Amino acid sequence: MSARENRVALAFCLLAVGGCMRSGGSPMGIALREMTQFESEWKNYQRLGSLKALAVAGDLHGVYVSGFAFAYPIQALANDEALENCEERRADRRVEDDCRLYAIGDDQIQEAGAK
Amino acid sequence: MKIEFTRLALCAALITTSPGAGVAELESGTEISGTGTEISETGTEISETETEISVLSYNIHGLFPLIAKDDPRDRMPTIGWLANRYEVAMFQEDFEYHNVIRDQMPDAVGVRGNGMGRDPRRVFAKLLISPVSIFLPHFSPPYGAGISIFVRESLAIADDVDREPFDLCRGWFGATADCWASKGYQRVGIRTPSGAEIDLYNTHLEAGSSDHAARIRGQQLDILARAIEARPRTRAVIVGGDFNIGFNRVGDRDTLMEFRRRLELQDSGAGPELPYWRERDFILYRDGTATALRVEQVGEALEFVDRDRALSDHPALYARFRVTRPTSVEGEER
Repeated sequence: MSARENRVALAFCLLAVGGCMRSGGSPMGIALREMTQFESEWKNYQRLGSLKALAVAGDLHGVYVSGFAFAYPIQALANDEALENCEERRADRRVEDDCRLYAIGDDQIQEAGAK
Repeated sequence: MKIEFTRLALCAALITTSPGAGVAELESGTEISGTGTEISETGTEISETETEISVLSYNIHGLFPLIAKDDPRDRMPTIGWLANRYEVAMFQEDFEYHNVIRDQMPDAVGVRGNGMGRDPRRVFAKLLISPVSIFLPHFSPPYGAGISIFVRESLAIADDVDREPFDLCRGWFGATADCWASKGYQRVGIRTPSGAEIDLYNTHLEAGSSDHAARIRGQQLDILARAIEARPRTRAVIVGGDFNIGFNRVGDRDTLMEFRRRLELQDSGAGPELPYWRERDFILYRDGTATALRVEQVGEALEFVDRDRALSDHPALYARFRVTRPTSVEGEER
């Protein structure tokens, strides 16, 4: 085999290997985000003005619903509104667990995993 | 259920080369119960026939690869192939890949949303970009609505289709450059084997978290609401799509709830099941005077996700409805 033929054969092999590596090496699809919806929601909530409340129902690492309220003159009203909004979504998404207050004002009153 | 994409892609490719193979076995508009008769208060015999239909709503992120930041050409055949198992598939953002999806769904009738239209800004942009588009495959902005509905052939009603652009958008640059698409809604009427009729609506609303974007979404929903109100109430209604509305955003929640109240739409309950998604997509529905819908099963179609990767940047939502058409059968004895 001549040197030229060797080079052609080598180039062909490299192309073939490269092609195989590309199809096997680059997985199809889009990587899922790292931040969960609830983490993002919690971040947004912390930026809201007081008096505020956040209520949740379901699994915060899976299917859950939430409701929030902010800029209320009385904390109890904010709590009620957050729970009411949460209940409305709970019925929509057919989440079985009751809505519970997750945060009152800036204070988180429940761990993320707690039910 | 999680399936490896590579295997699915291979199957999708096989279907492309042999049209009709594999999907022909899928049932369409399955009639699940035949009769169930009863006597009404007026003495008229009421006969009910029921059908079950499954509806998929999926934003498939079908942009030019550099903008999509991946290679959508890899994903699209698999998406189309997987969508075959649904009687109705509503897609958003199929901009560059509608035909790839269509090739995978030979037994479905596909209807696209509105085109680019005659907005002078878009026409100018099109002219400007045309020379580049010739050399770049899958690069043809500005776009139309980028939405489409595929329904099983057995459910389709010929020419029962509407589409309308919203003619509203906010910007051309940045992450929410929605003016590159002429967003709108589309309507497709279907008839089940038992004769029940449903108007299917598919839409994709303005993106963005600003107050301005939220206001535009409100105006777009007003246009859609007026279109639905103009139709006869006899038909049931299913509205799916990417609403770009987050219940956790101030202002957005009220907009969607007002839209639902106005049209008496209920949320099917379909929503993301993985914690990494943002809830922006919905499947809403209401009964018609001659057609009733009951939600049988809803959720995220997890076959579009494989471990830490997905076939799009949105969750695929599905809802399975039981469709009932009460019919008066006078003079018949039980």
